[in-house]
Amino acid sequence: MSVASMALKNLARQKRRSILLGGAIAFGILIITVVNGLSGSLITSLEANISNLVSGHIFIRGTEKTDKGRVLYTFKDDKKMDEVVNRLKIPYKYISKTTVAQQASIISDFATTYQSVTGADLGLGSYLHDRMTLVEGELDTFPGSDKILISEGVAKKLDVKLGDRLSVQTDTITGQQNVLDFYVGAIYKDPGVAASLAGAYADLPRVNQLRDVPQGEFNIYGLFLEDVSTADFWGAKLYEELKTEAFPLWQRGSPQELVKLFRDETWTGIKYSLFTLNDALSFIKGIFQSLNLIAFLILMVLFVVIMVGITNTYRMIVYERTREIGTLRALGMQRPEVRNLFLYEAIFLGLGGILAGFVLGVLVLVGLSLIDLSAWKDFNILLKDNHLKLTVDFASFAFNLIVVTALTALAALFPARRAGKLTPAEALRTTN
Amino acid sequence: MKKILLTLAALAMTTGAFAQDNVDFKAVLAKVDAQTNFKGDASAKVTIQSKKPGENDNIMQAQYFRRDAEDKFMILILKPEVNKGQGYLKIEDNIIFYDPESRKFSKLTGSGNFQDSNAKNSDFQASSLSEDYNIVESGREKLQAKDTWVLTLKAKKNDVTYPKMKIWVEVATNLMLKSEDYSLSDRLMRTSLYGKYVNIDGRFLATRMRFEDNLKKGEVTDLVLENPSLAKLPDSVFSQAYLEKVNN
Repeated sequence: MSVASMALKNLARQKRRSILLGGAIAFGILIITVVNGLSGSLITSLEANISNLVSGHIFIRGTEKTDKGRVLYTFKDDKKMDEVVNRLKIPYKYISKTTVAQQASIISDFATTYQSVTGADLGLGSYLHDRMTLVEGELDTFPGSDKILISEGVAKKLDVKLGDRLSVQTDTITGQQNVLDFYVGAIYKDPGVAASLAGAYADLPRVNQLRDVPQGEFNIYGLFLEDVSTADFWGAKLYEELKTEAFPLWQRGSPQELVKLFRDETWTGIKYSLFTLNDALSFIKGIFQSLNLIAFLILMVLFVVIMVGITNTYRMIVYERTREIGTLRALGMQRPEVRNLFLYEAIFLGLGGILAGFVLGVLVLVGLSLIDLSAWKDFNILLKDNHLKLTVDFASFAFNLIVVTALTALAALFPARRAGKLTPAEALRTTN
Repeated sequence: MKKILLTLAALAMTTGAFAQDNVDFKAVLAKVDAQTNFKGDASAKVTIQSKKPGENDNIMQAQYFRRDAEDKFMILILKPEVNKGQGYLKIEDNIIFYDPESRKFSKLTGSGNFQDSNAKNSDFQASSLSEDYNIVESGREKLQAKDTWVLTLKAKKNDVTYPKMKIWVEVATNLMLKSEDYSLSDRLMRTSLYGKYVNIDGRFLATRMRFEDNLKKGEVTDLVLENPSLAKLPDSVFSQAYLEKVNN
């Protein structure tokens, strides 16, 4: 009989003890699997839902500084950019050219709200046309019109319905006050807490008129990729290619970091900044990553407690089985084999606990993903079709498997070595 | 008799028109600026009361310091407690906002609203109408029984808050009594009323102002300036360090 199978038999022999110790490990893994799964689910849904609302996954923005220190967002050389993008064979679905009025006042006869108004192509065949979930109206007639697309929440707050007039007030790119009338042409499904990120949408020439951007120009060049998860990879590639093409570029960073640079530095001509959806969502992602880290730290504290438990239990086991060890040694079992017997027991216990915890964790996640959360309106940006998206983080499972198994083995190492060091005569003389 | 009356009326109108034609409105505009800008420093306590439909009135108090010759101002919020210590500093073309809670400075535009009121940040700076605008139309009107010049102004530059303004200047005093502020699309956005001026050492400070939002119905902001002073201010008042210091 091999040492490994003896170890398994020993575990089966002491069912209650094994279940308690394995259960503690399983509980820790269950918690971390659920936390990782939930944060992964929320991030994935957020990314997917936001990418339906924003104008791309990779953004390039031209910036100019006036003599008076005002930063103008402008993009003139889009032909050259198209060339670079096509030469790199970036797998994109759609290129968007947008002008954004940040924090515009949207005014109805009854109320005012403040949010961004994005000027984009919303007509047939455009990415936003295909991805927006409308609850009322349609986008086909938006090109060339003064229609505006707003969220359900904004429509409710402003007390407006399709066809109603809204005045949009904002600064022009040079800082003058401007206001234009728009008519509600469509209403999209409320993105809940992300409404401020999403904002309202209108036809590009109309928003250009509002911002006093010359027709044919725009603020932001956006790329919708085939796969949003490749945004960072293609963003880095495009940035390097633009560098070799001698495009004047800002260093990479989140839009918030870049705005600080624009404010503090002085330059001439147009300088371009490139950021990805991940850069833009870095703050939100940071929260989820912190959550994962906290969960991992809690797991580690839990495992320190479990390790102490395992060490004590194995000291007891070695004490209880001293005569048995003496017998095995007398029958010819070598010292390393005796040590390994206990180590294998601990490793099998750890593996069993980890697998059980993982399976239970996945079952909890499956259960959670089946719950209809349509009533959770404010947070539907974090959901997929009103449900939590089932996300199992196999990479972190593999990491936990290695770490927890190693920790369990480490916890049992000291008593196992002590068992291995016992001489047969000494062990057999023991009276317990 | 009727003919005589008509002739007299026509003569009166022609004389009026001549009188108007003879007025140098550029000089009038320059006087509006010159009379309301101070050679040295000026300071006052300012109370800002904003009214929005369906909301409680928002009352704010601040200390307002000006150094028009260097195109600087500093506004330090005193009340309410939640905004206490916030500050606005204008140096050259930059308006900087200080938030004592985050201890951070951020840059604002002149066209931004002052503390969610209907006053603009640019309303607190020295008047530069003659520098920023061309007169495109002029006329004469009675405004609350006062004889006024009505001047329509178009911005010379594309970075002033309002591309078009219509102002009512009292003929007798060359002080602006009212202005209508228009957007680039020529929509009336705001009406400003200058209810009272005080004469301090030959210069005039508007001590009662009202800003009515013409887009957002019912939104009104009243500004009252009290305890005006022309005492010289230390240079340090117009610095970012001052804002940090008063909050320590």
